[in-house]
Amino acid sequence: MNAITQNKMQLWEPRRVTTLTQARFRSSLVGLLRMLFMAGIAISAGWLIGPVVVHAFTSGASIQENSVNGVTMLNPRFSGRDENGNAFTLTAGTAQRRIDELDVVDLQQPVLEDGLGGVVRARTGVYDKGKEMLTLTDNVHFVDASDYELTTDSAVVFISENRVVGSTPLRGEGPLGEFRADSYEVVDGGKRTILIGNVWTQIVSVDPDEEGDN
Amino acid sequence: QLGNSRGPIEITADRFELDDVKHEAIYQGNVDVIQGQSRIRANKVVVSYWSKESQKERAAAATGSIGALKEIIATGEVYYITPVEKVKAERGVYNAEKERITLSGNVLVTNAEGVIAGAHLVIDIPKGRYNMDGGGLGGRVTSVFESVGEPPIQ
Repeated sequence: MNAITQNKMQLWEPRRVTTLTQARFRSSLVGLLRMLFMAGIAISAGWLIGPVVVHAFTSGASIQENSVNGVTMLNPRFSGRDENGNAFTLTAGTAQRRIDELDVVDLQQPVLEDGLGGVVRARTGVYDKGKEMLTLTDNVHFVDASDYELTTDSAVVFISENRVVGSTPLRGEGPLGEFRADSYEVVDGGKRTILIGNVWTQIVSVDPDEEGDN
Repeated sequence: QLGNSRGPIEITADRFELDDVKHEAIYQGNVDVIQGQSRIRANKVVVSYWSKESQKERAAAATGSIGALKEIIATGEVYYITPVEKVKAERGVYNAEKERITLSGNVLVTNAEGVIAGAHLVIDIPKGRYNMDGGGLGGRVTSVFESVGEPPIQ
């Protein structure tokens, strides 16, 4: 029987090349290799995806910082008209535009002149050009055309409507006398002032005759 | 002035609205008007004052303090209280120039001597004169005085 046919015969003969212990060793080796392989996959996956996940969480803060530290303008001037056509001018010491909200500007020492003789200033403010809204905080001080002066801690100025709203206590003085209250609203460009909550006013009535004697 | 002493008028309330076009200050909710020892309490009080321009016309110098007070109108459970009497009414008007208070609507004056009821009371503050009437149409003034010390007539 030549060599070729002998080879073919061998293919069909049952092989008992390895002993039982060798077979067991071999299968446990395969199992160990499989585990190592799976561990390797996990590690490489972690190595790839990990930085991406970590970056996503930590970058939030850095983006926050970046958004505040946008472009800084010195002595900026914003102007426009309210719904009655009155021109207004908003100036400040510095203005910092936010990167993620291009319409919003953080102001230091803002001063708003409403075109009706009214001026409001504060230590800090946020101007939202899109909403035409100015939020003032810290030592907010108003003076209007009728000689009324008003001091409070915060105010929201709706520039287009020429309306001011505040929910922090205020004190003020004017032709009518002195006044205090818990919250307030100034409408119609300062023609009407509404005080709400614990209102106190003091009217110093001057007698015309008395004035004549002075 | 509201009573026998001048000085600033202090007004407290729940809500206040200043209308600088009409030159009115509107107080609402537990309104308390105090000047010295005199007081007006009401649900609503409207204070009107002369504008700076009209002050100049009336030769009232703009002294930096308030434009001269013109009138105080109180409505809704009005009380006018001084150290010697308490007056209840539905409406009260204080005219600053004439220094006169007019109270109307079920007016009831209570003091140490007794009680007087009528429809319409005018108080001339500088002269300290009170003029009460029944409000016409058959209205009458009624009063009850307490006699002090003497025994009642049997």
